Amino acid sequence: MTLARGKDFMAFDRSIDVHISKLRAKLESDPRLPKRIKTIWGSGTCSCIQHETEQDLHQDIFSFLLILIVTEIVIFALFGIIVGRYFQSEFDHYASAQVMVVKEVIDSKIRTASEIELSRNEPLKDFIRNWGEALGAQVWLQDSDGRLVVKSFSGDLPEKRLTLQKGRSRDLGDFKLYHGHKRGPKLYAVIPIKLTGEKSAELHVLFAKREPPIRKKVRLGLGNHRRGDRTSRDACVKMDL
Amino acid sequence: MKATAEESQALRVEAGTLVLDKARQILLLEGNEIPLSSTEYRVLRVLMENPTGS
Repeated sequence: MTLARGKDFMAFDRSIDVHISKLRAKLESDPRLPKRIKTIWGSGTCSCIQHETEQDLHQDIFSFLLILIVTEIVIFALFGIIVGRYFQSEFDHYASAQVMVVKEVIDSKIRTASEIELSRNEPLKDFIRNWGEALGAQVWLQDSDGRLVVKSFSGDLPEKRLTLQKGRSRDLGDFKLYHGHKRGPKLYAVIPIKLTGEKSAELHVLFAKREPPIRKKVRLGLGNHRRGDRTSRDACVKMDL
Repeated sequence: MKATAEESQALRVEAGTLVLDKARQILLLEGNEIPLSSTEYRVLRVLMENPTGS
């Protein structure tokens, strides 16, 4: 203050505050929230010039990084959703076909051994056991009275069947396919089957989601091509679909 | 030439978009002159020549 006014400055002279206020009114867009002239309380320093460009640069970099991070998160989330839906659709298609095949086979095994009690139908049990092992499935049959006739052949029954059944389901003709996420993605199929004496029962199948087998195979190699009298050997691509 | 540049630099104090022209005793904010009283000019000059903030 002595430098600024050219005379001795008294500690209780508040005129400096008036000058600072006037400067703020002229230089700041909002004098109540000063950016250029800030007051630092204590240690005898009252005001300082903020280097606005440097401060703004830091704010711009921070904003840019924040926007970049948020954008990355959004892109990853969208990518995950799209890929997830694609694989789910692929798997649903594959699982539906598998369930239809199982239904046909089990129907035939029940029809060919209709006089035998279901729990003693060894061909049926063998089929369910083998198929269950192949897909990591748990299978059981329930008769019209709600009594379990054939219990699980590979592993325990699902602990929370209701959780699975409350999930999204798809009606696929005469059977239903539920999606569950208990201990990894799982599918739960309820397949109605006909028993002897017009009794109806349901086959419940729980199996873990697996990637469908690769159906397309591309081979690269050399092939002979005949053009008129000449035979040429060219590179070719063979596709097994 | 070098001496002229140094003199010119010594006569100007810059802090962000604020430029204090000591030769003409005026303040420029983003190129526009801001009218200041002599005391305000001296206070601002002290602040700009002794920046304590970061």
